[in-house]
Amino acid sequence: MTRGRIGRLAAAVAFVATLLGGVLSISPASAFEAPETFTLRNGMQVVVISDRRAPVVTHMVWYRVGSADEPRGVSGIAHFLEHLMFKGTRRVGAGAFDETIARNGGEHNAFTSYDYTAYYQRIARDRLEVAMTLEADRMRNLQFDPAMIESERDVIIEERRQRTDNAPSQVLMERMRAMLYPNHPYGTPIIGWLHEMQDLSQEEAEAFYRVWYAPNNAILVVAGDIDAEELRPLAERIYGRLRPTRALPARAWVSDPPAVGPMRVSHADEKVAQPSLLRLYPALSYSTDDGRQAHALDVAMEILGGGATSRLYVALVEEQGIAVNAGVAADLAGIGGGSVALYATPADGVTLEQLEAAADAVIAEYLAEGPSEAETVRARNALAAGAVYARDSQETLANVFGSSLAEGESIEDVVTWEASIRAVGADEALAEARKALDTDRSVTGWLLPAPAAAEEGA
Amino acid sequence: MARFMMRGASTPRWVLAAVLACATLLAGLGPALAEESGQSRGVPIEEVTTPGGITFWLVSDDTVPMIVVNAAWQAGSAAEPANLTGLSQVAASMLTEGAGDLDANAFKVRLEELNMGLSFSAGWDWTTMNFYSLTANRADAVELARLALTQPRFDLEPLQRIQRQLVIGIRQRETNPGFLASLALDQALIPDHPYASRLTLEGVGAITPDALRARWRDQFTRSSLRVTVVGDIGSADAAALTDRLFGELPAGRGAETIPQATIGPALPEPIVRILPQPQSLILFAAPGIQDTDPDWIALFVANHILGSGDFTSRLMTEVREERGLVYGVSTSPSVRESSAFIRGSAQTENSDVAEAIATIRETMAAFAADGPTQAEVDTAILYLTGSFPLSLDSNSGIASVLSGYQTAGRGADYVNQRNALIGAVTRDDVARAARRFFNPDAYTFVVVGQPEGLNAP
Repeated sequence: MTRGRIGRLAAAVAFVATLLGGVLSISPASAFEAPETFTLRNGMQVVVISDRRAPVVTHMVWYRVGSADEPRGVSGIAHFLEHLMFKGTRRVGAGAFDETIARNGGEHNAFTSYDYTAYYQRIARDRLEVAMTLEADRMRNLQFDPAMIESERDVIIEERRQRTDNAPSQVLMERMRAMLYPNHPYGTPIIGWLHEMQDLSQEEAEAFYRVWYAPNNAILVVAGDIDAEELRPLAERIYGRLRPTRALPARAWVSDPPAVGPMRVSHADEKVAQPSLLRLYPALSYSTDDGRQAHALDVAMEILGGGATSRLYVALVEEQGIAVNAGVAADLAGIGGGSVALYATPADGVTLEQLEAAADAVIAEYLAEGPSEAETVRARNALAAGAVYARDSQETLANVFGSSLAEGESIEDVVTWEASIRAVGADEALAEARKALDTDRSVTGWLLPAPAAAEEGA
Repeated sequence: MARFMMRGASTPRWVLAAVLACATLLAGLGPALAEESGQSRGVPIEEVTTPGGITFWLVSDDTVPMIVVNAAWQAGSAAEPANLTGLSQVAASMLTEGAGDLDANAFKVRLEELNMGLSFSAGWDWTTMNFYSLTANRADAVELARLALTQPRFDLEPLQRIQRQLVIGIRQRETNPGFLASLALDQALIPDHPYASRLTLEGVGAITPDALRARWRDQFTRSSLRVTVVGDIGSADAAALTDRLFGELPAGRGAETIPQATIGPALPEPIVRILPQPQSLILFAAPGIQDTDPDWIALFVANHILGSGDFTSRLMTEVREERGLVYGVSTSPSVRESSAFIRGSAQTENSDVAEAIATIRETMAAFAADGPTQAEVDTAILYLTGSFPLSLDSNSGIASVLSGYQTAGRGADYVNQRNALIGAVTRDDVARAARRFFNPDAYTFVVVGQPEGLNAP
């Protein structure tokens, strides 16, 4: 699987499950209370999530801009700029940002997605002002140094090699997305195409920065040992005086032509020791649906491939024994829509043809008969329970609210997510599954050993 | 899906205790803050002994209606028979593949119905359990976990499925650079030690339900058990829960131990393993010390300055920031019950491997020769102590830190003393540790990829 974006609660559930190292399920309790929120006069939205257990805060600034907003031909510029944001301003010299956060016992990082770019610090509550001051400073005062541009470009190219070019499965995924989105910017990798990354310039980074990095295009999320009454004066003083971008451009993305039937691609590499199967379907998202269609699709995909009791896993791995893993990951975040990924790895001696046919049979049966009531209840509970466990981490909550708002959802959408999941009926889940699992719009990928290696492996 | 996490490796979060950091604001960046971070709340940890005689650590907090229980047994893969590799890990996995009247599928359905998490995992020296539950389902969740621990079924069907999965895993690892590099290091430095062994097809294939049952009886015993309970539960209920979960386990014969590893001499030239990929993985290692050694804290601070992977560390500055050779580079002490290393890693374009290794060696040599500056020591201590509460802001985080201390043999009060120990480290201490542990000649390097400009042996 490629590293995509963190998507709202469904992804937070997976994230928490990973943290806790196991299976997740049901929750009878209601999950979230609505966090406090207000907006500064320059247009910056502020969200405050109180958790008084430890004297620490998670401070995040989310920009409503990501790789999908890049001009054509300069892929990777959003992420390159994210790196350059650590390189100093007029007042904070190179390296001083890291040094200051470290000397105050803080941790910090940043990440770029198709839809947003986010920066954060985790730090003692009484050092929050340090983080806010640094973050506000670099929102408007970043300095671009030609020498640093050169060496940092080498760093992001090494990053691409580490994440993508060294990993045949990632190379395949990148090409499959390019086929799934032949024109839409989601078909371009966040990190960029290598040949375009090599030419990224200071001027392009600076232009991107000047337009998009502004308080009226940003969301401040602070979670932890604080409330809105305490934060408001700090936010007004430190962020409130920043100048907004006038006439912020609309985020207009080009769209894809209609699908022309099932697409297939295979990729062979010497490093592939074991073949595997991957299929992508385009889907709606929490940003593009109206009502609770995305909730219903999440429930439907949980039943089909969400874990060790899912239909695909039970049929292919447990009953037939022809796969060593199989499942579905629904990524239903995205201003431009979501996607569903089906994956499976064959057991020894099983071909990808056999495995794909068996997976298609499971899907066909599922779409014909629909989920049982028991399956629906279990899947709803599995997803909803994640909301309670997510409350254990202020960082997770900050991520959930920040990413949701950055993708155009409301605080209420997040707070009512659990109730909406619990309201999904088996018929709704089936209807959304039928719409999403449309083979004619899918891209199927086979990851294969290089021909010479394939013979001895078979 | 994970977010697209760019920039920077994560920071190890396993040190730390009470807060005493000094604020250092840059001039012109707003008002200076107080010298000390005020709220040094500490962790309200209790050591409790149950009516059944089991001692455990407890942190009660009812903010979120859930609990986490972490347990560890000192019994792991290092002590298993060489002809049954993977036996301990498979035995651990099989505890959640059917117990009592529930077959594998019924057991997993029940786990989902109860909103709970339950997993077992075996490492080299320790087997661990992670359990979590919502308060509302706690009693039923404990019963299911107890069933897994005391009445596992070890059915043939799930065993064969796990064997099929392991066979594929063994094939996939042959092109996994991390696997190839760490194996090459272990074979070079501790060739005859159990830690240098790996799963084999024959060993995995020879595992039977009877062998698993025998392993389970030795692996999960009260005599080497450590337990941490964190969350929405009081002391009496936590004691009852602990007795219910673990009281029926056999007493056992204590911790399983294996001989200490003797680390061989460093190789002067890098070991090269060819793998067709554009970027090479570089791993390096040298002898280290156990975390009971008097120099442990000094090493810990010294390593932070040289190779934490943070952007303030020397290796990141020299190899990434100055030269753009890597996305990340780091070192860390690596302690097991029967070995102690300092390990490092970096990834770089094949044509830059020689320069990256030379830069790492030079950076290390300068640090060993001259030691740290006072400012570096101050910054390291401020960071290491000040970031303490960040790892303790959730039930799962607290449980994870505390179980780490339990298996390291620390006392219950260690979590609240650790910062004072780190704060007492001097520049001389760090310089001594740098000399002792970061002599580049003590390090053996391994490169996996298609490196250029190296003399492949």
